[in-house]
Amino acid sequence: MTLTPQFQGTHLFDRLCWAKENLDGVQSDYRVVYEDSVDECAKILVPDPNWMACALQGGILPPVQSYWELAKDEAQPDFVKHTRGYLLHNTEPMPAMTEEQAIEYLIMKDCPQSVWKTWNEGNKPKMVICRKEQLPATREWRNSWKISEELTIEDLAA
Amino acid sequence: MASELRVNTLKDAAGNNSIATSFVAGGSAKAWSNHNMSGTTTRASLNIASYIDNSAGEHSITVTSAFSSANYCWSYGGKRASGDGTNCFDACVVRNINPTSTVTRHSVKDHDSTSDVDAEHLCVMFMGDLA
Repeated sequence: MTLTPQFQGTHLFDRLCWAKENLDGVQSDYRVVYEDSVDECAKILVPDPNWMACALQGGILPPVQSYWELAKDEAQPDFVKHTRGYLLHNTEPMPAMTEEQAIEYLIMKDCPQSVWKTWNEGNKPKMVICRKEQLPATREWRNSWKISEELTIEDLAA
Repeated sequence: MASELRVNTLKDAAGNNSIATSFVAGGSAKAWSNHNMSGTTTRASLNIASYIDNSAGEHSITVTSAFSSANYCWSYGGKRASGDGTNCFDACVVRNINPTSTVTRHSVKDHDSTSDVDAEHLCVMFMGDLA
């Protein structure tokens, strides 16, 4: 088992370079299917193998709240460049996550908040975590893919 | 880190061709990826958190270590399927939509097509200043 150095205070990019040298990538079978617009087809979030390795290892990735704070700064009309990058580098890194916890983290980092905060409000779920094998086997009609109308919130909760 | 060299300038063995380490660090790619858009399989990458398959031929890529602003440089190259046409690099990125410091969204077209297509090899490189 490779031990993670004490990384708090180390630039996040340097941590990722360490991880690339020392950790094997992890290809996750999890996929996150979500819809954020009625006019667009379903989108599919796929974790990067090196990122997943960092999440499982622990001590590398910053808390997801650091990204939220940077996103708030970037949304300001007078935003020019980030001045709070230290939130990524100086905040205590996340401990080792399970693959499921890592997917939840990634949803909160990379999916629109309008999707994951209200995924279970409405006639059908806006977001589904599934296995790769549960997606259509080919890309045929990719631009028409939607989360099934037959899938209910209760189905996912069960 | 096990070992660390702290220098400001690198030179060759003869003492010539000096280059500042800041130049090396600043000019290096800060994120890159080689992946298959169809099924989103990553072959190799650095500083990539996730891929979002938005539709046929259209992906978003998010980074882990954010850039200082959305004004970084991206470069793409692509190839369609190996059995498709001449197996040459024949896909091109035609749009990069509303990039932020952590996300770029791009679409890929074939030279002889008006619709977006999935590239079997999409090679992406990002350069710029990190946050």
